[in-house]
Amino acid sequence: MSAGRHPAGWRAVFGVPLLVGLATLTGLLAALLHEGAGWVVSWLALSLPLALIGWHVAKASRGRAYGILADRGRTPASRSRVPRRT
Amino acid sequence: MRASSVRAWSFVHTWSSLISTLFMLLLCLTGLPLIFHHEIDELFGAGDAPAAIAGQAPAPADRIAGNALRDHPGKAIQYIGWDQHEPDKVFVILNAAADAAPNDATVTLYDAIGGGKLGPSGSAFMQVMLRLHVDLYAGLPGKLFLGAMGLLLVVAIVSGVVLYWPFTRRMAFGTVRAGRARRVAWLDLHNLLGIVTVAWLTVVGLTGAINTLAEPLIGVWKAETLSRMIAGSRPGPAPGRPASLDTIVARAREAAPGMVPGFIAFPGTPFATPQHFGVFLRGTAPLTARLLQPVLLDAGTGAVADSRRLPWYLTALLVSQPLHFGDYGGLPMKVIWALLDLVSIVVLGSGLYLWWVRRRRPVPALHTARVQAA
Repeated sequence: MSAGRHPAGWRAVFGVPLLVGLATLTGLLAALLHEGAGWVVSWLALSLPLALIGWHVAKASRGRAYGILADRGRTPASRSRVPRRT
Repeated sequence: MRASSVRAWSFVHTWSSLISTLFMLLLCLTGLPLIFHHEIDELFGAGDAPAAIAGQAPAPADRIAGNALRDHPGKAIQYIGWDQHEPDKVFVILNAAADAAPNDATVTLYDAIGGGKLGPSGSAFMQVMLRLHVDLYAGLPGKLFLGAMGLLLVVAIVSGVVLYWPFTRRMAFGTVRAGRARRVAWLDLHNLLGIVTVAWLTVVGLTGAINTLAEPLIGVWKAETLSRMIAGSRPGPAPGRPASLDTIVARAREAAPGMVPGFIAFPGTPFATPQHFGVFLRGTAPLTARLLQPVLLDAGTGAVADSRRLPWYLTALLVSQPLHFGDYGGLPMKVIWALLDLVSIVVLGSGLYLWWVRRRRPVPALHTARVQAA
């Protein structure tokens, strides 16, 4: 699996979550401090986690469809094999 | 991260979540309709006030109070309030006596211009949702219990963020291994949904826990500040005939220039004294509209007794409320709040599922972490 080759730096793991967290807090405060533009900022910022979920779940379900096609011919056991703690 | 510390954090995450999950699910489910309580109350509750004609003078508070007492024989008024989002309605809260329990109160809406009765505020369904959400029908102990569950949620969130590292460090952000075993896919979803909503859930959880302390905090304020506020003023002659409400509101506004009345607390209620009215005024800017300035007025003469800023802990309580309710950014914010609430339900449910399957088999990603740590 190609996922195993990604660098394990903290930025790769916590970079996006940190940005989403900062956007969330900015959105929560913006609507509290400003009623016009602040509302729009909060709608955009607070939609970010929802958009990310939608994007990655859609990507995974598309990948799954391709994956099943690509897996054709392999045994079911090799497809669902999961490393286990010994 | 060492395998032993992964195990320790896993233990903290599992048990802090397991203990609070059932209550968190209840809070998420009852919170969902509460986000839209305004819209739902409008549908099932009292009708709208007749469209106000610009420039029409509002009905005197005395007339509304008189109508409310006539409409509810044998009851006493506890509070009269003005909602900043509903300028054409006046809330009148009545109860068996001024110091009766808040849960027994009835809230009736009155037409701010005509002064006539519009109907009860809220529906029985929303009342049930509110009680389940706020105190589990168990009063203050129920509130404090839910507050403790909120703090456990924060422990679960912190340990979850720590565990996010060993469980996802070998994958690109947001990877959901949908083609793998069902529990692997759910583990990835649990990690993704949990980590992107972590800031929101922490804010909602913490502000919810702060809200459970409202009763004790108001008690502290009463003991500390309210008694000091009335210490300077000699109690006037026993109020045979209480002062006019409109006089009281006008004098309170003079004492707090630039502010508008939020609510009047009648003598004997928790927000006043037996000899004083409490008028709580608020600002008109988005943030200052959340803050209240109390003015105490003699119940007999209507003279201003004292006015002081709220202490920091009540200011914190008032600011934490919108951050918990999500009611300060229009309907789009409420919809986002509801969707984030639904995401939290999936995080809770998938966490429960992962714990259930792990009882029989270890979570595969933990194996990866152990190999790396070695």
